Amino acid sequence: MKTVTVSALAAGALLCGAALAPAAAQVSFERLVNADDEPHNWLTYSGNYASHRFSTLDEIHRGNVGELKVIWAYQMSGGLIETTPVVVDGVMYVTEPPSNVSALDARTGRRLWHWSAEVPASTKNIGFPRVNRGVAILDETVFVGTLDARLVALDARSGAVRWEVDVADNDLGFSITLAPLALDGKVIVGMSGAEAGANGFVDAYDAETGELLWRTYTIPSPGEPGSETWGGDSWEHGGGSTWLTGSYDPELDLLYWPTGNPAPDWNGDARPGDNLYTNCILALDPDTGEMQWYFQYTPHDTHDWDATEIQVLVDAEWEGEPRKLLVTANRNAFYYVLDRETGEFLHGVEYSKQTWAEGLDENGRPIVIPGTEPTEEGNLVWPSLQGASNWFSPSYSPDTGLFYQATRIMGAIYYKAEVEYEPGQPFLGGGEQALSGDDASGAVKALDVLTGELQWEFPLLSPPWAGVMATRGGLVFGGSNEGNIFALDAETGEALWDFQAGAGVRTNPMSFEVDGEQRVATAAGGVLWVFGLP
Amino acid sequence: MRRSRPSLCGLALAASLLAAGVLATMTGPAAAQEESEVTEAGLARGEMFYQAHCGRCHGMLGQGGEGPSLARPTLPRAPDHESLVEVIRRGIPGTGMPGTRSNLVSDLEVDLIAAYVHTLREDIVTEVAGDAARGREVFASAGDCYSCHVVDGRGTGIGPELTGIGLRRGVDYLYASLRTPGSELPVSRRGILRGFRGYLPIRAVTREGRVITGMRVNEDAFTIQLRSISGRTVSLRKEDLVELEKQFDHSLMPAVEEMTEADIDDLVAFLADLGEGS
Repeated sequence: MKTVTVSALAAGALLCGAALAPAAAQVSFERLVNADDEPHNWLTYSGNYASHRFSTLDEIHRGNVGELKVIWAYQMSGGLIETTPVVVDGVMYVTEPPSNVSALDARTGRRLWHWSAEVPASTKNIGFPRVNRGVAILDETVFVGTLDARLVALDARSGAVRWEVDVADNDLGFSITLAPLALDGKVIVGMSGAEAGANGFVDAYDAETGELLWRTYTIPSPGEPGSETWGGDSWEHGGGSTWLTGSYDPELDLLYWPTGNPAPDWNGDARPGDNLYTNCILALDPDTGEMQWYFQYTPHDTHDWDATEIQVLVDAEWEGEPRKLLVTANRNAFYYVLDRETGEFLHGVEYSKQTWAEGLDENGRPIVIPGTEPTEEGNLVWPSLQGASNWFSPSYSPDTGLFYQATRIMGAIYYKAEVEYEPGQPFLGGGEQALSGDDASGAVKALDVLTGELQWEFPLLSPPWAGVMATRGGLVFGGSNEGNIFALDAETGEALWDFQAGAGVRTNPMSFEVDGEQRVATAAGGVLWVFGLP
Repeated sequence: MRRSRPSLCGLALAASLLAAGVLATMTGPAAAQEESEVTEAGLARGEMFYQAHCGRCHGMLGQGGEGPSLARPTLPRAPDHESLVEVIRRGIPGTGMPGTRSNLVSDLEVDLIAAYVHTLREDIVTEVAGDAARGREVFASAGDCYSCHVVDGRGTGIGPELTGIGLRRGVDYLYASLRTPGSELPVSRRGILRGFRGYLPIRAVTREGRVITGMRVNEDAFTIQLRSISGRTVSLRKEDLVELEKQFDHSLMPAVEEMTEADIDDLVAFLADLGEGS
């Protein structure tokens, strides 16, 4: 009898919330394209298709950020939390390790539904932790990729499964940890697996049915363009994963998807050549998957410097002309400015300590310093294999014209070893011994978005695993391994607010509004923290 | 000091040798303790799996990093092959040491990793010249070491606890710690600031001009916590400081300049004898 009463109460609360919130969140493609018009929501992994991770909310600003308080906290199931919440009209969708999804009341943090991916304990994750970075939403469906390489569509209201497809075979090392990207009627997903020698691809699925619309492999087969950049049959296990969410330009109708390292990671002997299309940005036709252009950041990589970092789309004046740009702070410690219509390299500059290249030539190709490859004895090189940047997001503020990047300043001793491919086993060819503790450090860096020149930096004790978010309130939010969640002045880098969360921050901040009040959310340890003004 | 590494040339051969059962002598707990019974190819394969699964924390040469060094005479939690296999398979709860899943690393491969780890033991064990019993007296009297260190529950916990130090550190390290303490600041292996220098001397100056010294206990981007030489905890916000000096080449431990060589030998002999629960 008591149970019945409680259930009735919960149902009542739900109905009450539904009455207050707009009916049925219909997240059309149009809404996703115009996500900037809905600052109270956070509709995609990076906040908009251009991957700015910038909130135009300004209720919280330089003058009052010092008063921020915890509004609510949500305890997640165990594991590393790397999710960015998506918020739609009062409902927050988060993923919990390894690949589960929860819908929360954005006002209180109370659960509305939970879906368990039931990822088998035996699922392989070779070369990365058992994490998930978030969902995509389109119309009334939430999409999540799973550690065992499935793509699942869930009803946004109830969490009921609409469809589920096997993207790839986890026995071979394939996994999905990224947040999918929903476009017009389709959902785009990439995969992990290069550390097991699994070849990468980008997939598009029909959002309604789960039907595979196209697949574009990142490693060309013999005879295809780019296949000449692989020696022998090394392309067969060439890697080139696609493990982080891409960006999209609706006007050009181009999908930008970055690719990861070649395999084996640290031994390039068996794969002479540039190893296309690893460590590239690919511009794809979203209707066919056909490659329109590519740019390779690190040819013939032997340091595991995936180029999968977030690719930020910026419209700006370049040498007196308005130009559509793509900018990124690469794991290899260089900042790049490309023309995103053509892929033309415009500019590149070192943004963090590196010892492997003298610079970039006029085409953006690194001028590699001889003797910086991994060796059997070990070779100290900056940056470490985790890179100057990694999966955690940068932010671009159109207000300041600055590109904010949490930066890892860390070297590593790289080792090379012999390795033979075995299906579903690590295919690494060496490893690294990263400098740690007081021999490494981190910083939030503010770079001029066009020149990459450092404008300010805020020091962190250790190389960070947390991204940043700038806001119209003139703030940059970030986090540290040591549990600091903080806000910096977006123009000067001055620290204006900090909160000790008691566990490392390993996710990207985001912002939304509920009841007309701005909230900032980020996770630390196993807790999702939501802050607001008192 | 660096041991010679097993050649990797035999790696390709290893798979076929495995298939042919050449490594049959590897089975049984005693086998890997007798390194001679493991073939070169088996060790090479163990090394490959070690690098893939263990090297990121324990160092590619076993010299340590985020995890403890494995290149030492005894592994405290895994003194024999059987316990080492158990640790590699199941990890050590409450530490950074994860287990290995059988779908990634087979039982045979765990065996080979363990065999390889055995080869990391330092092959040079320095003879300890001193008298441990006399060293205990030096520790208590001339050295006055209990005023900062705890051994078996006795002493003051300002510097590192030395209970079991003989299992954690080699003799060379102990000599260096005594003669030039600043050159051998230990790296933290436990939860607090793991991977950073422990007992790092800090000199901080506040906006008001107050000078504060102590050892770093913890730190983040905004704050730092110190322990003064008197054992008092000092909590500081960095924004309140005009100076924050990290003295990497120093230690608050006094060097043993007053001691004779014989005293130092005896002290090292005493410390080297300190095992777990000694």
